[in-house]
Amino acid sequence: MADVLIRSVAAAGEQVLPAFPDVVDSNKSMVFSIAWHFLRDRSLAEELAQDVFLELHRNWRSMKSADHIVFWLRKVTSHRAIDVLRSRKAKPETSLEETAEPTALERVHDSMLASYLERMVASLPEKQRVAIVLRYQEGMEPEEIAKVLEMNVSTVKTNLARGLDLLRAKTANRLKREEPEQHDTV
Amino acid sequence: MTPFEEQLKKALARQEPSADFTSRVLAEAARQEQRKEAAGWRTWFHKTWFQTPLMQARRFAPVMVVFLVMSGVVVYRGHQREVQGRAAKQQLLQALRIAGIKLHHTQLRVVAMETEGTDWPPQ
Repeated sequence: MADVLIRSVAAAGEQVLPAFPDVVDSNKSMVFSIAWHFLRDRSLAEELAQDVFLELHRNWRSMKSADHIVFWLRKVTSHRAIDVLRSRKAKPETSLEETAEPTALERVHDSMLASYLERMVASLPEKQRVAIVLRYQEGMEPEEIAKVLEMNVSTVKTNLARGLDLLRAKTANRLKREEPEQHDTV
Repeated sequence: MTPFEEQLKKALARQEPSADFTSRVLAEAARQEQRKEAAGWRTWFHKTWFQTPLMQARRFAPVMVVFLVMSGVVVYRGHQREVQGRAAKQQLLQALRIAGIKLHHTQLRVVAMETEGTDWPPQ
């Protein structure tokens, strides 16, 4: 067991791989955050992240390099998150339009806006959501996202643009509604 | 990157899972590894000591049945020939014995007639 967990060398002639516990430790926030921003359910996101790492452990022999591991983790996490979301379709999903606006008490402070945006991202359609998460959480380029999601680059770009437009429109509406309130209070 | 995208980037900053996440993953991985090893050992044992001979026997069962039936027929026919041969030998010996006795009787009679001066063949 231990030798499998700490095995750091792949097949002969290949790159030296980091040890499995190190891989878990250094990538857990990435995997968990993709799942969290996608699902907005902490326990589900942790469960998904754990399943992804266990699958990585089962497929450890096929890993070629540290970069390959990161690519593999992003790809499997994104696809699994989409699968989980689809399997939960029976449970009514809140759409962007239906998502409750933050209360008037929430001002435009950065932290509030961040929390607001996080909720808005989680209510985007799945393809736009995963593209936005990979683009802005992981800082990936559309070409990389296309590889991870097995899509055309143009489709990824379209999803990113549409997602951003939806988020901008919703945020602008919110700010417009808050401005009169602020004037009223002054 | 626009200010809006900067805000989005901040909103989607990475977050940490619970503190015991790594240890839970490693423990579960260890459990899975143990289960896999146990399953592998069971499979090997099953294949080596149980499944393979049985599978072979099942595969060759019709051939074995045909072989046994044919062998039985050959052995039975050989046995029958032997029994018949013995009976024929007994019959032949019996016939030879009878012929020998008759010959002996005839010989005695010829000797007796010669000593008595009787013509032969008798008139």
